[in-house]
Amino acid sequence: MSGEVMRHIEVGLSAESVAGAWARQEAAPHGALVSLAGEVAGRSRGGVPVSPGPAIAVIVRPELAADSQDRLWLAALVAAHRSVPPLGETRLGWPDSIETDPTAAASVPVPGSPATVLAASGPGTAVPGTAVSVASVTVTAQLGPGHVDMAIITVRSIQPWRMPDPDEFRRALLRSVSQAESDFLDLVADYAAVSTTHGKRVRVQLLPRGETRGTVTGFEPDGRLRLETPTGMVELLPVTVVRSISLV
Amino acid sequence: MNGRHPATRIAREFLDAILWGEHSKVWQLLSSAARSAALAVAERNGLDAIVAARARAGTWTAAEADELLSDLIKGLRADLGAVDISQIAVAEPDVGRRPFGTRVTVALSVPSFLPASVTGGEGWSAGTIELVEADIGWLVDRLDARRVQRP
Repeated sequence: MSGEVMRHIEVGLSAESVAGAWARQEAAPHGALVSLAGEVAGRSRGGVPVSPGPAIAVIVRPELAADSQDRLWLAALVAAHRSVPPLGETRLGWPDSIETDPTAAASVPVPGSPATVLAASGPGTAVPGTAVSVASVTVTAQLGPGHVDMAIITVRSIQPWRMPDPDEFRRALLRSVSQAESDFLDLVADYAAVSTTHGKRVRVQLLPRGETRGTVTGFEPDGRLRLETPTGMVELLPVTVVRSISLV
Repeated sequence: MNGRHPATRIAREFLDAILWGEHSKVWQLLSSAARSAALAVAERNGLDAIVAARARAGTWTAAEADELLSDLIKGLRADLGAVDISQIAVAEPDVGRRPFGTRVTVALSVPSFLPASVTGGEGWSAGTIELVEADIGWLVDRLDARRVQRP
């Protein structure tokens, strides 16, 4: 294994595929980063195709139990928020979306086509209210016996000028993954401070079908979203069952 | 959305309670026959007979009630899974020649996105709710969710 921790590739199939090959075939270390100038066939959460564009993937090998893998989504979101260049106020929409309000997005001088900013429905699928998704994260975890063996965390931006600095994203991610391992409550607090849905009434569209509603009251220790109804019924939602979340 | 007939209002409240996961309210709005039917289904699906007996007697613990009623909500949502519950409209019951009857059926429908020439201007049927009048007012006796597909 070499001491290499960062690779840049001009064009590749997807950041996950390049990072995955590095991790599995060359035992890439914890924190190894792949930066792609152009993804040909990137996929966001749930395998939804995204438009070709830049992407950054980081390989992490966290000390987490297998059933706590959802903590990594929160770690990825918080890291992206810490490192995506601020342009107006950005907020986080669990499980995968970094958002801003349309006026802030529209005020950005985009050479060529400012309309593309507003038109972007984006790779992120959680778009509460009228917020515009400007970036998204994806977590692909590989499980070992009872633990998370390795995970690839990818960040993509709809607006290429808003891509985080790779090294800055890597540092932010390693910090938030460390929080996910040992200071999960701190990580939740960091997320709640900039969340679009925390403490609010939401409608969650579920996979493969159906929906549920309630107030977001926090996260379980394993990373599942905690939704509470007016009569006190609690629903715990893992990332895999969430299609989208919107405020009601 | 409040209808003139009190049963319509109860049916609306019942659907809203399902939508918002108000599990204890759903239970309160069920008639004794409907509660028995729900517990019978739960027993067939593995609910402990002793817990079911406590539920019938109203002596179940809060934790048992939460667990069982959460499953009931999920079951009702699954029954209505073919439609968007928030879009369901509740029709006035056709009481006909029995305006003072103690059992009514209200029809449920969801809006259609097809041209009115195709649908006759009406929504798609989403099923029916049967209600009975008890001492404390109208209660839901049966939900018959029709397996309609979204257009």
